Amino acid sequence: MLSIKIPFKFLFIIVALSIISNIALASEMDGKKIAFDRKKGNCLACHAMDDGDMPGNIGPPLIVMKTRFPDRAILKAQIWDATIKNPISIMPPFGKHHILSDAEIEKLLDYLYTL
Amino acid sequence: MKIKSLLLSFLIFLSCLTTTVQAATQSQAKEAILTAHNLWDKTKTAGHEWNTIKPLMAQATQALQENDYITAIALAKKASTQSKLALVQAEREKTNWLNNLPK
Amino acid sequence: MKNLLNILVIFTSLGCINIANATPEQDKETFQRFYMERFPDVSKEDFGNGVYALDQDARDQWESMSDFPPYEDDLEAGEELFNNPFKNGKNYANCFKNGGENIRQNYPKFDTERNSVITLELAINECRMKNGESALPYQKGDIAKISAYMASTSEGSLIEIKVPNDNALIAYEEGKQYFYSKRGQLNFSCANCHIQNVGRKARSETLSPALGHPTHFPVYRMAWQNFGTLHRRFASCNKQVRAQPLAGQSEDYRNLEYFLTYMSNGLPINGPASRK
Ligand code: HEC
Ligand code: HEC
Repeated sequence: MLSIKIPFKFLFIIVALSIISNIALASEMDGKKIAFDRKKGNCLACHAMDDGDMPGNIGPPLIVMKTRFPDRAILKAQIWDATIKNPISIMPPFGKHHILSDAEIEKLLDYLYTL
Repeated sequence: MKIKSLLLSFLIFLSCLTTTVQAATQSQAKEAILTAHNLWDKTKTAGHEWNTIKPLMAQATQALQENDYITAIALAKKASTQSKLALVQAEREKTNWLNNLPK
Repeated sequence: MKNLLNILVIFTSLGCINIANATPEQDKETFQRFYMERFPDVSKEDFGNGVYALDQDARDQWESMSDFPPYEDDLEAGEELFNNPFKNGKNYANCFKNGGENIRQNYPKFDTERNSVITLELAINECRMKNGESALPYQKGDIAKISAYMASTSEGSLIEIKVPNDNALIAYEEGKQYFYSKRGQLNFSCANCHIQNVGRKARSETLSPALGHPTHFPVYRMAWQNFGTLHRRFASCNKQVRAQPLAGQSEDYRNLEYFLTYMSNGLPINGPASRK
């Protein structure tokens, strides 16, 4: 069997670590960070939101999201691919073009609903 | 011993689920890179190359040289996905650009 | 087979022209009217000052340093380079109309024999090669200094770009399509920023009007600490949207410059200039 030569404890630690690191990776960045990070969402380039410093004014301010977007799917669609609603939208298609992963977008949505 | 083995195989099974451990050979890695390369070239011809593709290709090639085939394949696939999206963009813009004209 | 392909290419290009359905002159009218209606208080020639035509705070800062422009030394170096004879005794003046003075406003030109757009920088290098000198690297360095000096001799002359025949029209249309097409992972067209969102802010940066873009190049950017040609700026803007920039003087960039400069027909040359 597998464990004959390799000490069991050693294997156990390796395998356990690989599981933990997978879980850790996914929760590395929280939603706000993803929104503000220039290499990630960079939403501040165009939207005023939260306590963000020096926001742009290309898109509307992201406020009272719960009231304005009761349907999470609609909010997600805007972030996933804004060109569906507006073919020349300047807003990057974050999901469609793999700028953010699906997991990152879900986190971002959680955060947006706190605004 | 039995329980230990059982526990171990369960853990290995779990780790497979999370990291999708895959047997990868050198030839598979080479093939993935070649496919990615061809798609990348197509985006250049279409005039819609993304600057995110070049570094992925360089990293994939590097991984291949270091015999890290799993990484090489993952990066090549990522590059291929991006190239395909760039080609979709090129195709769409063949007509969509007209919507951008000032009115 | 190749002929067939060529014919196909020409027909598809003509198809595009039909869809777009406007002459360069009509395009220019619509383009300029768009900006003049959006900013009724800005005079036509002031659009050549980019963001400073739209953002008074930025303009005040910019004007405070115009007594000692940061490019003075490089501009002088450009004049020297321009006048220095080649090894064969000739110099740049021999290659250009009017001894190379006051000609910036006519570039880029469409060369009907070579069926190709000739920018000023390309013409400078061709002049060198004709006289047995090596080509200079494009985008920055000596070529930008020479081009800056030549631009300075055209101060106030009105841009006058021509589309002399159908091949020129194809090059123009290609440049136009480039300008309006979304590219890069972030999916932006030039028009997204410089037309639809002109005057708005991306973070703290005001977006300049594309009308007037080519009037003042080469530009000395504080971020660069030296002169860059228009194609260097194109490359920066490509990178911002995660599109792979093209080589300076590539066909696509020359066609883009051709279209963009035609859109500024009638505006005075005011280069070189400094920018953030
Ligand atoms: C380059 C500019 C730009 C960036 C970057 C950008 N947006 Fe937008 N966004 C816009 C514009 C413009 C609109 C207006 C609708 C349209 O044109 O798509 C918009 C619309 C929206 C809307 C709908 C707002 C409403 O009130 O109807 C939401 C929500 C939104 N953006 C979220 C985001 C998030 C989250 C990010 C960052 C991950 C982001 N945007 C990044 C430009 C941008
Ligand atoms: C994401 C928005 C964005 C896009 C897309 C973009 N630019 Fe820019 N561009 C800028 C910013 C920001 C600046 C610096 C501030 C300014 O002058 O607007 C700039 C500056 C310029 C300048 C220099 C202006 C001057 O006064 O010297 C030129 C020329 C230019 N862009 C051309 C282009 C062209 C051509 C394209 C398409 C290939 C393009 N830009 C796409 C944002 C953009």
